[in-house]
Amino acid sequence: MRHLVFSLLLLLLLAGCKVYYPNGKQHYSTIDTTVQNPYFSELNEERLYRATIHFYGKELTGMFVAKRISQDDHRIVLTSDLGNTLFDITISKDHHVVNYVMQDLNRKIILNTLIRDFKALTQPDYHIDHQNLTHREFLSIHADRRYFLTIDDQGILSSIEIASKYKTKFEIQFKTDSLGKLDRFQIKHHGIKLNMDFVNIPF
Amino acid sequence: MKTKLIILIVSIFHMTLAKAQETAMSGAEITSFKQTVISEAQKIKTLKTDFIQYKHLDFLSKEITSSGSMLLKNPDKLLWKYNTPIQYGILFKDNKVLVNDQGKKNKVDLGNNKKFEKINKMIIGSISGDLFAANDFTITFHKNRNQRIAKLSPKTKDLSAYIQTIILYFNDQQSTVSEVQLIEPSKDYTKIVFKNKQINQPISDASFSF
Repeated sequence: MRHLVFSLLLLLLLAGCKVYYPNGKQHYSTIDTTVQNPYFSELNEERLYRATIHFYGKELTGMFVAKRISQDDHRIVLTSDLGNTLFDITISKDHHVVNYVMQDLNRKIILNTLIRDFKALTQPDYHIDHQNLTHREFLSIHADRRYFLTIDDQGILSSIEIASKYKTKFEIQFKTDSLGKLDRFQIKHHGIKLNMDFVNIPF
Repeated sequence: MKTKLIILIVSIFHMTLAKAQETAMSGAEITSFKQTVISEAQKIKTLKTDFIQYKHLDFLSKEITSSGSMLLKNPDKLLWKYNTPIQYGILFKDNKVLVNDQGKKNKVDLGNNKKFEKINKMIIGSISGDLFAANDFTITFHKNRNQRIAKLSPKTKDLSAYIQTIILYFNDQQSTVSEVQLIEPSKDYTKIVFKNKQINQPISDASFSF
């Protein structure tokens, strides 16, 4: 009896939580397709970005490189302006290797956040389950994560918003130059005070 | 296949040759070299130099290059100013660190960032030669045809977590550093090459500001 009451309460509680959609659920229809993430997808392409990271009132700047080193792997490195490596991670869709991380950043919570962010940034394609043509939005569901990809009116991927079932976690916004190359991008978190800005610089 | 074999033989030969060029200094050479460097470092009141910084990451096809100038006024003023690829300056003055990031100025309190201070002291020390006097490193001395070379390995885990070896190159008969190579535990490294060095030329205090 007690279990039944508990189960009913849990059911009521869950029913009270609304599944998260950035622009409401009504415009979505099911679809089976793929959206390409063109950024960091060219094999061996090397582009350099100046990174500015804001974390709970602290600011960290440096140089950022994300290179697709094989079909499955991206190597992601941040160095300080003075040159020392802050972190160096190899990421693929389902695994990662931490090649080096500076002692001060070597915390599970920091590493997991960075890995999750950069996985979403560099994943070459997203399998799409739902689309919202009114807002040019595509929803990909993978491993309990929901990825909302927005395509602008030029047909270019302009943002990826990452959410759990019930709330938004972080979003990545892209800006391209006249040649369609990624000029700057921003990773903005909602639950924690973490924002990262990246601007392309000559290399 | 044949080409690969030739390349392999040439590279092995090249590596052997390069190694052969670098020999360990004798005891007497070490003593005299250390004495000269330390006494010359103590005479440095000001130092002005341009530099090019090369960050080597093994998986990249080329190095990340930055350049700028450095001003040092003993005992406690140091300014690193990067002009390319971005305007960025870091100023050490009166136990404070100030950063100018493309016009945006931030104050960094050293009290909150002891490790940052340590790394930078290490960089300053490696330029002036002061590192030889410090007891934090195991040092070996080498030479080749044109350079005298000091290789420093941190004794403490605290430092070796950041830097595995610092290599200081002294060109010709100079007693101040011409090139610094900071090798990280991952074997990636930062190389800083100094040029247009000017020692003990007057530098006004006003130069140490943004």
